Amino acid sequence: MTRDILPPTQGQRWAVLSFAGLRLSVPLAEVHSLSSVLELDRSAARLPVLGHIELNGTRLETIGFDAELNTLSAFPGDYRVCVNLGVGSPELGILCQSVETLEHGINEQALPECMASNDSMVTGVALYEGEVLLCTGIEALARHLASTAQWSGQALGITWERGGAC
Amino acid sequence: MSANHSIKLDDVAASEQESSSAWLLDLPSGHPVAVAERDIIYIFTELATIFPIPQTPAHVSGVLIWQQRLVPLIDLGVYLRGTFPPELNREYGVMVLLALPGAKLGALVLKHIPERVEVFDSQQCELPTSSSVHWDSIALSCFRHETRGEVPILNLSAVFGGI
Repeated sequence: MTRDILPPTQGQRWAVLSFAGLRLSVPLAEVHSLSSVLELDRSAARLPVLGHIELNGTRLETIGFDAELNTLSAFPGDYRVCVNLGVGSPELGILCQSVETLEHGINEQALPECMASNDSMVTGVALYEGEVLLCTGIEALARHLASTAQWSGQALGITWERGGAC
Repeated sequence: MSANHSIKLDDVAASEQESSSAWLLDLPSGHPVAVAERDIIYIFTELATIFPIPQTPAHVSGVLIWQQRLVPLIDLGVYLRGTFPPELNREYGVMVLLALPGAKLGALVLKHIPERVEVFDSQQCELPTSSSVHWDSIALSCFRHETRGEVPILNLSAVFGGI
Protein backbone atom coordinates (compact mmCIF):
# COMPACT_ATOMS: atom_id res chain seq x y z
CA MET A 1 0.00 0.00 0.00
CA THR A 2 2.83 2.29 0.71
CA ARG A 3 3.55 3.30 -2.83
CA ASP A 4 0.01 3.31 -4.13
CA ILE A 5 -0.36 7.03 -4.03
CA LEU A 6 -3.59 8.06 -5.66
CA PRO A 7 -3.28 10.57 -8.47
CA PRO A 8 -3.01 13.91 -6.74
CA THR A 9 -5.64 16.48 -7.36
CA GLN A 10 -3.67 19.63 -7.88
CA GLY A 11 -4.02 22.04 -5.04
CA GLN A 12 -6.66 19.94 -3.35
CA ARG A 13 -7.20 20.80 0.27
CA TRP A 14 -8.87 18.68 2.87
CA ALA A 15 -11.23 19.11 5.76
CA VAL A 16 -10.99 16.67 8.66
CA LEU A 17 -14.07 15.65 10.61
CA SER A 18 -13.65 14.15 14.09
CA PHE A 19 -15.89 11.37 15.37
CA ALA A 20 -15.10 10.17 18.86
CA GLY A 21 -11.39 9.96 18.16
CA LEU A 22 -11.60 8.91 14.53
CA ARG A 23 -10.59 11.47 11.93
CA LEU A 24 -12.15 11.37 8.51
CA SER A 25 -10.95 13.67 5.77
CA VAL A 26 -12.97 14.88 2.82
CA PRO A 27 -11.92 17.17 -0.01
CA LEU A 28 -12.55 20.73 1.01
CA ALA A 29 -14.13 21.29 -2.38
CA GLU A 30 -16.92 18.94 -1.31
CA VAL A 31 -17.73 20.93 1.81
CA HIS A 32 -20.55 23.29 0.96
CA SER A 33 -20.94 24.95 4.33
CA LEU A 34 -20.91 24.48 8.07
CA SER A 35 -23.78 24.74 10.51
CA SER A 36 -24.09 24.65 14.25
CA VAL A 37 -25.99 21.77 15.80
CA LEU A 38 -28.11 24.46 17.43
CA GLU A 39 -29.70 24.82 14.00
CA LEU A 40 -30.55 21.13 13.86
CA ASP A 41 -34.26 20.42 13.80
CA ARG A 42 -34.65 17.01 15.42
CA SER A 43 -38.42 16.94 15.28
CA ALA A 44 -38.56 14.80 12.16
CA ALA A 45 -35.64 12.50 12.91
CA ARG A 46 -35.95 9.13 11.24
CA LEU A 47 -32.90 6.95 11.69
CA PRO A 48 -30.30 7.13 10.45
CA VAL A 49 -31.35 10.73 9.81
CA LEU A 50 -30.89 12.51 13.13
CA GLY A 51 -32.44 15.75 12.04
CA HIS A 52 -32.56 18.46 9.43
CA ILE A 53 -30.71 21.68 8.78
CA GLU A 54 -32.53 24.52 7.08
CA LEU A 55 -30.22 25.70 4.35
CA ASN A 56 -30.99 27.97 1.43
CA GLY A 57 -34.64 27.13 1.66
CA THR A 58 -34.14 23.37 1.71
CA ARG A 59 -34.19 20.92 4.57
CA LEU A 60 -30.88 19.08 4.56
CA GLU A 61 -30.97 15.62 6.08
CA THR A 62 -28.25 15.06 8.62
CA ILE A 63 -26.56 11.95 9.94
CA GLY A 64 -23.61 11.17 12.18
CA PHE A 65 -21.01 8.45 12.62
CA ASP A 66 -19.33 6.83 15.58
CA ALA A 67 -15.67 5.88 15.82
CA GLU A 68 -16.38 2.72 13.83
CA LEU A 69 -18.07 4.76 11.11
CA ASN A 70 -21.43 3.25 11.91
CA THR A 71 -24.33 5.63 11.59
CA LEU A 72 -25.52 6.93 14.93
CA SER A 73 -28.86 5.97 16.34
CA ALA A 74 -29.02 8.84 18.83
CA PHE A 75 -27.87 12.41 18.82
CA PRO A 76 -24.58 12.66 20.72
CA GLY A 77 -24.26 15.60 23.02
CA ASP A 78 -20.64 16.29 22.20
CA TYR A 79 -21.16 16.64 18.46
CA ARG A 80 -21.10 20.37 17.85
CA VAL A 81 -20.81 20.89 14.12
CA CYS A 82 -22.72 19.92 11.04
CA VAL A 83 -20.61 19.72 7.91
CA ASN A 84 -22.84 20.20 4.91
CA LEU A 85 -21.39 18.23 2.02
CA GLY A 86 -22.11 18.98 -1.58
CA VAL A 87 -20.61 20.50 -4.67
CA GLY A 88 -22.59 23.50 -5.75
CA SER A 89 -25.55 22.64 -3.58
CA PRO A 90 -25.70 20.85 -0.21
CA GLU A 91 -26.57 17.18 -0.36
CA LEU A 92 -25.96 15.72 3.08
CA GLY A 93 -25.18 16.99 6.54
CA ILE A 94 -22.63 15.14 8.65
CA LEU A 95 -22.63 15.74 12.39
CA CYS A 96 -19.25 15.59 14.04
CA GLN A 97 -17.41 16.76 17.10
CA SER A 98 -15.25 19.23 15.23
CA VAL A 99 -13.94 20.03 11.80
CA GLU A 100 -10.67 21.57 10.73
CA THR A 101 -8.98 22.45 7.49
CA LEU A 102 -5.54 21.02 6.89
CA GLU A 103 -2.88 23.58 6.13
CA HIS A 104 -1.01 21.29 3.78
CA GLY A 105 -2.04 18.79 1.17
CA ILE A 106 -1.94 15.09 1.89
CA ASN A 107 -0.78 12.12 -0.13
CA GLU A 108 -3.78 9.88 -0.13
CA GLN A 109 -2.80 6.24 -0.45
CA ALA A 110 -5.27 3.77 -1.85
CA LEU A 111 -6.37 1.11 0.58
CA PRO A 112 -4.43 -2.08 -0.03
CA GLU A 113 -6.40 -4.96 -1.44
CA CYS A 114 -6.52 -6.71 1.89
CA MET A 115 -8.41 -3.76 3.33
CA ALA A 116 -10.66 -3.02 0.42
CA SER A 117 -14.37 -3.46 0.69
CA ASN A 118 -16.84 -2.58 -2.01
CA ASP A 119 -19.15 -0.81 0.37
CA SER A 120 -16.62 0.96 2.53
CA MET A 121 -16.74 4.71 2.65
CA VAL A 122 -12.99 4.76 3.25
CA THR A 123 -11.24 5.26 -0.07
CA GLY A 124 -7.73 5.71 1.22
CA VAL A 125 -5.47 6.62 4.10
CA ALA A 126 -2.92 9.33 4.55
CA LEU A 127 -0.17 10.10 6.99
CA TYR A 128 -0.37 13.66 8.23
CA GLU A 129 1.92 15.00 10.94
CA GLY A 130 2.30 11.61 12.57
CA GLU A 131 -1.35 10.63 12.53
CA VAL A 132 -3.34 8.44 10.20
CA LEU A 133 -6.23 10.07 8.38
CA LEU A 134 -9.00 8.18 6.68
CA CYS A 135 -10.09 9.60 3.36
CA THR A 136 -13.52 9.63 1.79
CA GLY A 137 -15.69 11.75 -0.46
CA ILE A 138 -19.30 12.31 -1.37
CA GLU A 139 -19.36 9.51 -3.91
CA ALA A 140 -17.93 6.94 -1.53
CA LEU A 141 -20.24 8.10 1.23
CA ALA A 142 -23.22 7.77 -1.07
CA ARG A 143 -22.19 4.30 -2.14
CA HIS A 144 -21.72 3.21 1.44
CA LEU A 145 -24.96 4.64 2.70
CA ALA A 146 -26.90 3.14 -0.16
CA SER A 147 -25.42 -0.27 0.58
CA THR A 148 -26.21 -0.42 4.27
CA ALA A 149 -29.28 -2.43 5.12
CA GLN A 150 -30.60 0.24 7.44
CA TRP A 151 -30.53 2.79 4.73
CA SER A 152 -33.48 3.10 2.41
CA GLY A 153 -31.50 4.99 -0.20
CA GLN A 154 -34.29 7.51 -0.41
CA ALA A 155 -34.22 8.86 3.10
CA LEU A 156 -32.03 11.67 1.99
CA GLY A 157 -34.48 12.74 -0.63
CA ILE A 158 -31.86 12.36 -3.32
CA THR A 159 -31.30 9.52 -5.71
CA TRP A 160 -28.51 7.43 -4.28
CA GLU A 161 -28.78 3.99 -5.68
CA ARG A 162 -26.32 1.25 -4.89
CA GLY A 163 -23.13 2.05 -6.71
CA GLY A 164 -24.88 4.52 -8.92
CA ALA A 165 -23.11 7.54 -7.60
CA CYS A 166 -19.68 6.26 -8.48
CA MET B 1 5.19 -13.61 -2.79
CA SER B 2 7.04 -13.58 -6.07
CA ALA B 3 8.91 -16.59 -7.40
CA ASN B 4 12.12 -14.98 -6.23
CA HIS B 5 10.79 -14.76 -2.72
CA SER B 6 9.49 -18.29 -2.44
CA ILE B 7 11.26 -21.14 -0.80
CA LYS B 8 12.59 -23.35 -3.53
CA LEU B 9 10.87 -26.58 -2.63
CA ASP B 10 9.76 -27.13 -6.19
CA ASP B 11 13.18 -26.83 -7.71
CA VAL B 12 13.44 -30.26 -9.22
CA ALA B 13 16.94 -29.57 -10.44
CA ALA B 14 18.20 -29.13 -6.93
CA SER B 15 19.73 -31.98 -5.11
CA GLU B 16 17.84 -33.57 -2.28
CA GLN B 17 20.16 -31.96 0.22
CA GLU B 18 19.68 -28.43 -1.04
CA SER B 19 18.06 -26.23 1.54
CA SER B 20 16.57 -22.78 1.84
CA SER B 21 16.48 -20.51 4.82
CA ALA B 22 13.08 -19.61 6.14
CA TRP B 23 11.36 -18.02 9.09
CA LEU B 24 9.01 -20.12 11.14
CA LEU B 25 6.11 -18.01 12.37
CA ASP B 26 3.69 -18.93 15.12
CA LEU B 27 0.37 -17.26 14.45
CA PRO B 28 -1.82 -16.16 17.38
CA SER B 29 -4.20 -18.97 16.46
CA GLY B 30 -1.45 -21.50 17.11
CA HIS B 31 -0.94 -22.38 13.46
CA PRO B 32 2.72 -22.53 12.39
CA VAL B 33 3.50 -21.01 9.00
CA ALA B 34 6.66 -20.00 7.20
CA VAL B 35 7.99 -17.34 4.88
CA ALA B 36 11.26 -17.09 3.01
CA GLU B 37 14.19 -15.63 4.87
CA ARG B 38 14.32 -12.51 2.73
CA ASP B 39 10.63 -11.76 3.26
CA ILE B 40 11.09 -10.47 6.78
CA ILE B 41 12.78 -7.11 7.02
CA TYR B 42 12.02 -6.16 10.61
CA ILE B 43 10.71 -7.74 13.78
CA PHE B 44 8.70 -5.61 16.17
CA THR B 45 9.35 -6.90 19.67
CA GLU B 46 7.74 -3.95 21.36
CA LEU B 47 4.23 -2.72 20.99
CA ALA B 48 3.82 -0.50 17.98
CA THR B 49 0.96 1.94 17.61
CA ILE B 50 -1.76 0.44 15.47
CA PHE B 51 -4.36 2.61 13.81
CA PRO B 52 -7.59 0.69 13.25
CA ILE B 53 -9.32 1.25 9.92
CA PRO B 54 -13.09 0.82 10.13
CA GLN B 55 -15.06 -1.10 7.54
CA THR B 56 -12.25 -3.49 6.72
CA PRO B 57 -12.19 -7.29 7.14
CA ALA B 58 -11.93 -8.54 10.72
CA HIS B 59 -8.48 -10.04 10.20
CA VAL B 60 -7.09 -6.67 9.14
CA SER B 61 -6.04 -5.09 12.40
CA GLY B 62 -5.27 -1.68 10.95
CA VAL B 63 -2.19 0.13 9.79
CA LEU B 64 1.07 0.96 11.48
CA ILE B 65 3.64 3.55 10.59
CA TRP B 66 7.06 2.39 9.49
CA GLN B 67 9.59 4.99 8.39
CA GLN B 68 6.85 7.37 7.25
CA ARG B 69 5.08 4.60 5.39
CA LEU B 70 1.68 3.17 6.23
CA VAL B 71 1.73 -0.61 6.48
CA PRO B 72 -1.33 -2.86 6.68
CA LEU B 73 -1.30 -5.23 9.66
CA ILE B 74 -3.00 -8.61 9.39
CA ASP B 75 -3.86 -11.02 12.17
CA LEU B 76 -3.97 -14.20 10.15
CA GLY B 77 -5.09 -16.06 13.25
CA VAL B 78 -8.43 -14.27 13.02
CA TYR B 79 -8.77 -15.31 9.40
CA LEU B 80 -7.94 -18.92 10.21
CA ARG B 81 -10.28 -19.06 13.22
CA GLY B 82 -13.03 -17.35 11.30
CA THR B 83 -13.93 -15.04 14.14
CA PHE B 84 -12.19 -12.70 16.51
CA PRO B 85 -12.47 -13.97 20.09
CA PRO B 86 -13.91 -11.08 22.10
CA GLU B 87 -11.99 -12.07 25.20
CA LEU B 88 -8.71 -11.23 23.54
CA ASN B 89 -7.46 -7.71 23.30
CA ARG B 90 -5.66 -6.34 20.32
CA GLU B 91 -2.40 -5.41 21.91
CA TYR B 92 0.18 -7.22 19.89
CA GLY B 93 3.62 -7.80 21.28
CA VAL B 94 5.28 -9.35 18.28
CA MET B 95 4.83 -8.33 14.69
CA VAL B 96 6.93 -8.83 11.62
CA LEU B 97 7.38 -6.43 8.75
CA LEU B 98 7.34 -8.17 5.41
CA ALA B 99 8.59 -7.20 1.99
CA LEU B 100 5.86 -7.73 -0.58
CA PRO B 101 6.12 -7.73 -4.35
CA GLY B 102 6.07 -4.29 -5.90
CA ALA B 103 8.14 -2.70 -3.14
CA LYS B 104 5.13 -2.84 -0.84
CA LEU B 105 5.13 -3.66 2.83
CA GLY B 106 2.86 -5.69 5.04
CA ALA B 107 2.92 -6.82 8.65
CA LEU B 108 1.73 -9.93 10.43
CA VAL B 109 0.80 -10.47 14.05
CA LEU B 110 2.64 -13.34 15.72
CA LYS B 111 2.46 -15.23 18.97
CA HIS B 112 6.23 -15.51 19.42
CA ILE B 113 9.46 -14.20 17.96
CA PRO B 114 10.11 -15.89 14.61
CA GLU B 115 12.52 -18.79 14.45
CA ARG B 116 15.05 -19.36 11.67
CA VAL B 117 14.91 -22.80 10.07
CA GLU B 118 16.60 -24.55 7.20
CA VAL B 119 14.14 -26.27 4.93
CA PHE B 120 15.27 -29.17 2.78
CA ASP B 121 13.48 -30.15 -0.36
CA SER B 122 12.99 -33.60 1.10
CA GLN B 123 10.73 -32.05 3.75
CA GLN B 124 8.10 -31.04 1.22
CA CYS B 125 4.64 -32.34 1.99
CA GLU B 126 1.02 -31.73 1.13
CA LEU B 127 -0.86 -28.79 2.63
CA PRO B 128 -2.87 -29.71 5.73
CA THR B 129 -6.35 -30.93 4.92
CA SER B 130 -7.61 -31.97 8.32
CA SER B 131 -8.81 -28.53 9.35
CA SER B 132 -11.48 -26.30 7.92
CA VAL B 133 -8.82 -23.91 6.68
CA HIS B 134 -8.43 -23.63 2.93
CA TRP B 135 -4.67 -23.42 2.99
CA ASP B 136 -4.41 -23.53 -0.76
CA SER B 137 -5.82 -20.01 -0.91
CA ILE B 138 -3.04 -18.52 1.22
CA ALA B 139 -0.14 -20.96 0.96
CA LEU B 140 2.24 -21.84 -1.84
CA SER B 141 3.43 -25.17 -0.53
CA CYS B 142 4.23 -26.94 2.69
CA PHE B 143 7.01 -28.70 4.53
CA ARG B 144 7.11 -31.02 7.48
CA HIS B 145 8.90 -29.71 10.56
CA GLU B 146 10.19 -32.19 13.09
CA THR B 147 8.32 -30.66 16.01
CA ARG B 148 5.68 -28.38 14.45
CA GLY B 149 4.42 -30.88 11.91
CA GLU B 150 3.05 -29.53 8.64
CA VAL B 151 4.08 -25.92 8.07
CA PRO B 152 2.41 -24.11 5.17
CA ILE B 153 4.57 -21.57 3.33
CA LEU B 154 2.56 -18.38 3.01
CA ASN B 155 1.69 -16.82 -0.29
CA LEU B 156 2.13 -13.22 0.80
CA SER B 157 0.62 -11.88 -2.39
CA ALA B 158 -2.57 -13.73 -1.54
CA VAL B 159 -2.52 -12.86 2.15
CA PHE B 160 -2.10 -9.16 1.48
CA GLY B 161 -3.99 -9.20 -1.77
CA GLY B 162 -7.43 -9.68 -0.32
CA ILE B 163 -8.37 -13.08 1.06
